[in-house]
Amino acid sequence: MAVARRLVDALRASVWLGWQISANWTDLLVFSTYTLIRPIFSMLIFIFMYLASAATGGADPSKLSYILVGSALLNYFVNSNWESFIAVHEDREHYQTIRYLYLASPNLALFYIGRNLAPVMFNSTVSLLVNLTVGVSLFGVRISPTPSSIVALAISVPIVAVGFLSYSMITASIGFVTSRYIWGMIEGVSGLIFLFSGVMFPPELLPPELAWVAKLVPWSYWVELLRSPLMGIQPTMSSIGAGLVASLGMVLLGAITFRWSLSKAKRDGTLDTTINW
Amino acid sequence: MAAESVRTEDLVRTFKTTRGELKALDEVSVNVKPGEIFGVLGPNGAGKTTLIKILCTLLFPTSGKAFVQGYDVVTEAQKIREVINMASGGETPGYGLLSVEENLWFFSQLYGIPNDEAEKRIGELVEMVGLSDKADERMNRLSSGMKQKLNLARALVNDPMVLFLDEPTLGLDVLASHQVRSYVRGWVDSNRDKTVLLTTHYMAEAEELCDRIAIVNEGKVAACGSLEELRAMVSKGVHFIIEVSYLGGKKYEVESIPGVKGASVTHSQEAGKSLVKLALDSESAIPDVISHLSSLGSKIIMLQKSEPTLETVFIDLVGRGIE
Amino acid sequence: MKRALMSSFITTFVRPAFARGYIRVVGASRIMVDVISESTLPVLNLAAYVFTYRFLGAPAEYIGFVIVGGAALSFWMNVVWNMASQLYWEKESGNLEPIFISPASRMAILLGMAVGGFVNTTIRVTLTLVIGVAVFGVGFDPSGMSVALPIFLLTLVDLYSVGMMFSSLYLMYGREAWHLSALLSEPFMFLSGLYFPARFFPFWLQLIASAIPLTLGMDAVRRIFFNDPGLWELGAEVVALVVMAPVLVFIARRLLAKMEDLSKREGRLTLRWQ
Repeated sequence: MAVARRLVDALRASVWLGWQISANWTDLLVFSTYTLIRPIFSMLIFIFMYLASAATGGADPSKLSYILVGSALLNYFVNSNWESFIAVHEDREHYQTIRYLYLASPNLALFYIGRNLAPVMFNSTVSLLVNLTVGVSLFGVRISPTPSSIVALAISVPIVAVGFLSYSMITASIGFVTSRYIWGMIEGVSGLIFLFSGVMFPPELLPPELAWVAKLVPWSYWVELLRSPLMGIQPTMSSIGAGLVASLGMVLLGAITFRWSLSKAKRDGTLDTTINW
Repeated sequence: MAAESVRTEDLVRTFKTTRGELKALDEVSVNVKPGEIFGVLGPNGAGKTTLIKILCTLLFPTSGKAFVQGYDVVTEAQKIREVINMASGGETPGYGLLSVEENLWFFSQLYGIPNDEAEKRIGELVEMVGLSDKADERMNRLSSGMKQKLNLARALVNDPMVLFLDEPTLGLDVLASHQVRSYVRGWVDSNRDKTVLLTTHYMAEAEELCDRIAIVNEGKVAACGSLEELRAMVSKGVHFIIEVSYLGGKKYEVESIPGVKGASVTHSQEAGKSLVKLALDSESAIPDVISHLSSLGSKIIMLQKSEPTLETVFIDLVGRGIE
Repeated sequence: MKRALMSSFITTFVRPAFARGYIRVVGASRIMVDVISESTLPVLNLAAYVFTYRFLGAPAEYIGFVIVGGAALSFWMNVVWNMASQLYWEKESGNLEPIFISPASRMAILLGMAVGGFVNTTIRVTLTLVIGVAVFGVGFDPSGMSVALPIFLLTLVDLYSVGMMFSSLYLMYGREAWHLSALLSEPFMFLSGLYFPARFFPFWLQLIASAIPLTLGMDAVRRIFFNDPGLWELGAEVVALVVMAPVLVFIARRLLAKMEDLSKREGRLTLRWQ
């Protein structure tokens, strides 16, 4: 009981910390502007890609809906990617608190999950709402959930949440064994997600040599589990099952990589070093 | 050569905080002569680092003037930067992935030192600070003491006319601290036109190294002069050291006794003793002090009259110990 | 007089710039996993945009736009994150003080960072272009290289000046400036038309977008390599880029000096954890 209480307290403190770091750098107006502007312009890039294509005769509003909804959902993974990676670097090299966090936290993985939770959830949810609102009201994006698809969504959300939180442990793990300058790697992992998750185009478009990768990566199942209900399509039991398996697999993988990378950092003496150049 | 190496005139620096305005420096006026090691002694928060930052052109004064080698810190900052350098204790700037030599080379290039000259100078500096066998080692593999030595070497790489040292032995062990002080003394002794302005809150360091000392507290200069001059300022009073039994967390509050100008109490819990250092108007205050201590339940172990040291000077002028 | 000026220029500009660039290149090369990942993995992102265009049924030359846009994006990211925001990291790690008490030109330090990052970025871009041509079958008219390359280099000069303007904010601010850099990433990517021709903007937006050097540079390069109709006449775009260069350098220099002064007045130049 005491252990559970300690974990809850630590989680609460880490969530609070994550929110403070991501939000207390400015006043409410600037923060709100910042939170809204990024998803709007990110969405506009896709919209104009669509308009540029449509101008040459490729107009198909359902494709725009596909892309916008997918990219809005993808922000959860991309933001988590970045936040969990940079959190480790910030604590190690910027705030230089990592050794104390390591000593004090009952569970360091839980700490980093909590640290990322607030900024990721807030920014990504705002992004999702902005994308859907602007998309629906101005660009004809069609969102048509049915009662049964809403139920499916309610089932899918916790499945995906578990998976994506576990995935954030993997990117935190990368942070332990790398320097902060490898934003290219993080961009690359985001690229993996973009390319193979079916978020911007159906994975069937990939050449056969690459299409099998899409079947292996969990994001393709997670994105579909969330997108389909929003567009009024009932996910099948097998897709829900696949998403669940993907999430559980990610829990295992996340735990293993986190443990391994922490061990490696301690063996190499780089857990609390500064690598600045 | 400038008549003064460093000069400030009624220097004021304020900062805005959540609780209002903080006056970090309050009309500070000091003169530092070329060739001397000038100490700025004061407790944490006295304004020492603020003073150094202004003199290093990292911070503008709110009002007043400051000059380094005759150049104004506000309007002639570029000229000052060519002839100064600084090292802060507890800080180890540098690039973790580069070696000792590479880090020093980088900083030498910021001063535009030609490569062959830089190489020679780096070799000498690395030798001087005892890092010859670590010259190829990456900085992130060095111990804290070694990093601080590297920091000092970096501060000397451009052979500055004025060297600012902000608590250079902070966090170092006894041996490393002694070594740093030796390097500084040796450098000034072999370069009589060089000046060092050093801030510290270690009395012993100020006594050992400095030709003259300014005692600062809460942004003001309480006194300035050589050790002898400072002692002479307080020679009218008397100074006593009383060793008493340790009273746990109780406050002694001897400062409130009439005739006591200032007091500093240090505790040694393991030894079961406390040391009370007193600056008194006259010896007649002693019976009241002893009576007060006895009333608290403390036993008097030793009573000794002392000659003014820098610490007693500090207590006398500031009213309390430096801790 | 001339010799003294040259000597001063070498002392305060050339040597510091070289030294800072050296650190960037050498430091980067000492963590091989960083070099490899940074050079190769971003191609995945690019590939995603390529397949998106295929999904949308866009013409083949749009794939070329994505490849070229991805290359330009690499340079832009180098400017924002490896140069501009570097002063933030220097400040946080305590390196800003020894750098700023030296007589080295601030622009030299930034230039060194930019050039050092440029080396790594060029490796990444070369790989991107090779993969773009080889894997995605991007066809372009290579005869335009002799015109496109100088225009692109001119665009980079303008871009780096913009980056220097950004970096001045970091002298005064900490996380606010960092977040501002992050905030402006997407608008810049959008307005620059990295992944689609800016001619699809409404006219008023075309005018705004044309104030960004990258927009004009990208437009010119697309016109040369892919015969895209473009926003404005090629000559006009080149003239605009040429005019922008000294103007942006001047503004960057003034802004750096002004923000340094302001940060010293406010006591924020060396203030960490803002």
